[in-house]
Amino acid sequence: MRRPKLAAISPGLIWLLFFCVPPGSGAEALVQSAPHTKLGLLSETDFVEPGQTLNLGLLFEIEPHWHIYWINPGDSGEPPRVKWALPPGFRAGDLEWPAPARLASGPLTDYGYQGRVLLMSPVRVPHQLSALEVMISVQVQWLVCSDICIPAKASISLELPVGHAAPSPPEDQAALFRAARESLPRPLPPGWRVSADDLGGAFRIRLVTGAKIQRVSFFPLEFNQVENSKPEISTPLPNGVEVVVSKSDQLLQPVDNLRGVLVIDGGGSYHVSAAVRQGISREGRERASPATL
Amino acid sequence: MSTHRTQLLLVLLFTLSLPARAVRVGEPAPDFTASDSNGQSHTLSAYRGKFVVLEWHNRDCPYTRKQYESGNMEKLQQKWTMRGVEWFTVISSAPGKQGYVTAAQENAYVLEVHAAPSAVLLDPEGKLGRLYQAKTTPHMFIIDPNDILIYNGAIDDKPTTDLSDIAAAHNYVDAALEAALAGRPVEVSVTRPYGCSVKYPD
Repeated sequence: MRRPKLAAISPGLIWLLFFCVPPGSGAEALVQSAPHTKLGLLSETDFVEPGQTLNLGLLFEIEPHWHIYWINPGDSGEPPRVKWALPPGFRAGDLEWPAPARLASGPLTDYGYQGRVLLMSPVRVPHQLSALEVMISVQVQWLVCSDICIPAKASISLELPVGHAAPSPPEDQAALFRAARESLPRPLPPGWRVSADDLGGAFRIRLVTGAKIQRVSFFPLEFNQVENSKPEISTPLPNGVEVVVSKSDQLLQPVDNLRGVLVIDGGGSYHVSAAVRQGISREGRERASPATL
Repeated sequence: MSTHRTQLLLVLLFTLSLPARAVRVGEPAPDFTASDSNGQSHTLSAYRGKFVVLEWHNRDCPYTRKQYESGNMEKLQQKWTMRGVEWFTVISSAPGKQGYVTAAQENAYVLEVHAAPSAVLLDPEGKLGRLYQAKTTPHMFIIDPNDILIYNGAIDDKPTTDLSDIAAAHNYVDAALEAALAGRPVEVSVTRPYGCSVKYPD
């Protein structure tokens, strides 16, 4: 049987970057510089407290003109993936994704991060810990792209002492975590309302806050609901804002629910989930007939 | 202009402008004529009566390399062309961009990796890519003997560059062709294509 010649190449070779670094101690383990990204494993505190949440963060420092991806990468790409190796009884939460940026290249639009981004993960620490020190390890796979894409993989470990005291963490580190928390989308504040309408070829998402908002941008969490590369049109309302986004050409069925992140220009980002009201499309089309224009 | 009026215009814009350009499963696939790496011309409508696969390709993209270095894509090409399917690999990388190749380079590559498409269509201007709204490499399309698009999306359900993921992956294209050639409906006909962006001209 003919075998493709390249099949003999070991799977490991496709990883252009592979790092295994000795464990860091204190609150930070930094991977040495890699082409286009540096990756560090950080802890918000420089000790582990039994029964508490340990906030860990993966710090990506990305070269100018390169980017990594949000949980929904958009038209191409792939979000970073992590595999934690934690001491018994420790439980890692999901990665927390800051609001992304829209990254356009030609006819395609991706969602991701440029510059520096901290992806945090809250880890539950068991109440009983007999060890004096614990070892936290994580294997990270990510894709870094500019015009081309390079897959990367790294294993990082961090050793932290077990303690109850509350020494102040290094200030720059605490600031990083504070900034990352600021950049996380929040739940809608009480009293704010979000609604979504099916307009036929587009969805209209309306955010009512009680005050006029100039501009908002929508980032869908689901694939294939929205045409990522079509421009969205945001319009201020006296009591909020609305944005019209093009439906994906690939939709086979009506969308019941739109989930995503709304980013307000200069004013934070919010998780939204809205049932899509159908039927407005017929009314919309009638209203939009040439006679009424 | 008032908000109300803006909205009316928007509704009109979105309802009227979309259908004309859409490439949708269940609808006729857009016809095209393109040249292959041997200088031969291929017109989709001339293949009416046959199943046609379009595979967007960039030999240097890690996601494409995963499929080719594992031998997975070549095996699929071999399997389905032997069963009478026309399989067109399409290269839409612009000159100077990753994955752009001359006809001679492509022919050498096909021999080297034992690829077995019916032909490799060279699309350096990105015309065919834009017509089909090809987003990634790979991005896969299947067209039935009546020119209806029956699959649009990813090669499989493991959106990674890791060769070791292929063994456990569910291959959407293989499954769709198995079903369609047996006269059964395609179960999963639209997926999110994953991979590198197609390297269109700026």
